[in-house]
Amino acid sequence: MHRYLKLINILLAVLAMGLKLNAIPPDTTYPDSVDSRLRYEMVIEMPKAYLSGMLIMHRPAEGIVNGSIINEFGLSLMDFRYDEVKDKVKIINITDKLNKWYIRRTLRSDLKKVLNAMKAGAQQYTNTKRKINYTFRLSHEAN
Amino acid sequence: MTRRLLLILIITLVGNLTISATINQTQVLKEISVAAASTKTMQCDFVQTKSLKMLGDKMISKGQMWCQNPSLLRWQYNTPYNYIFILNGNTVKIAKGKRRDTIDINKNKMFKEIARIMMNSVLGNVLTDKKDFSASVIARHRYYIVTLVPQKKEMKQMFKSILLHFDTVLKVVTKVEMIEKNGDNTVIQLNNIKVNKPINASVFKVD
Repeated sequence: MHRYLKLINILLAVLAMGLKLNAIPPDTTYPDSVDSRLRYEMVIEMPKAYLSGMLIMHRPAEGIVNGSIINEFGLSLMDFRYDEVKDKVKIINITDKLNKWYIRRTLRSDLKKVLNAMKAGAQQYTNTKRKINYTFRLSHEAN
Repeated sequence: MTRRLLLILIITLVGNLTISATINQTQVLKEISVAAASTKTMQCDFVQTKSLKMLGDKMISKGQMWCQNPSLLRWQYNTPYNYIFILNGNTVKIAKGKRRDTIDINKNKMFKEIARIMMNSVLGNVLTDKKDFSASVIARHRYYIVTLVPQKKEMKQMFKSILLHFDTVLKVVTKVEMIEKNGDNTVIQLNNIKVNKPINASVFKVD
């Protein structure tokens, strides 16, 4: 009888472990299924300044990823849309301070590379020409 | 149809009359300013909810705030990220992870405005500065809701309007809503508010 109880205990423990393992989502670094959302803590370091905040991304449909970058106080810095088929980033909104044609051009080009780096599982991208360093780390918050 | 239209018109008119009859805007703004002037220190917890229009998403951050009139403020986020913003006179100190930055707010207009708006919003000081905002008030339950529309370029670049919810019982601002140009908005709810309790000077220092 004791032996059976022990066996049942072991079986239950193994089953519980299996359930626990299944409950942990794979550590994805890019929203690759429709309606998936991911949040990153992001830092953009430039030679004379730096920006930090959150990058929030959502895939509303296949081939499209929308993103917003906000600072810690919740102020929007920019909204963008990434077309995966054309491998093109479109800036939808940008704060007036950053709304200069050369900044938009750099950001469009860099964001595309940042997103491709994310797909490859990286947490950093550096624009060596302009010495801009982008660091992004998945935020494991629960909200 | 005409009767219905007439009814709507009457309701609207009566509604407006009620508001203007019960609120003397100048007097309410003065009342809030007096309360602000008597607030020497304030500390509280806060919940910041950012609504992202484009993503149909909400981002919730929580933290604590301490401020001391006229120019000491510590705004600290504890979750989902650690971020400390300290305004001490003309200097802003920021701590994020291992990084420490000190910014002279007179050389950085953006930070100057952020620091000013945070400090003055929670204390209710913004109402006195007519160059910065135009203000209008409505009364709802135990709150006066003050709508501030920015007048200065730097502010206009960031906000469409800012709403302050002034609790007439506690005599403090308990909620700040910031509506941005792109349609996003941020609501900061202040909880466990303590007014005029001494604050240790070390709170306003970054390690």
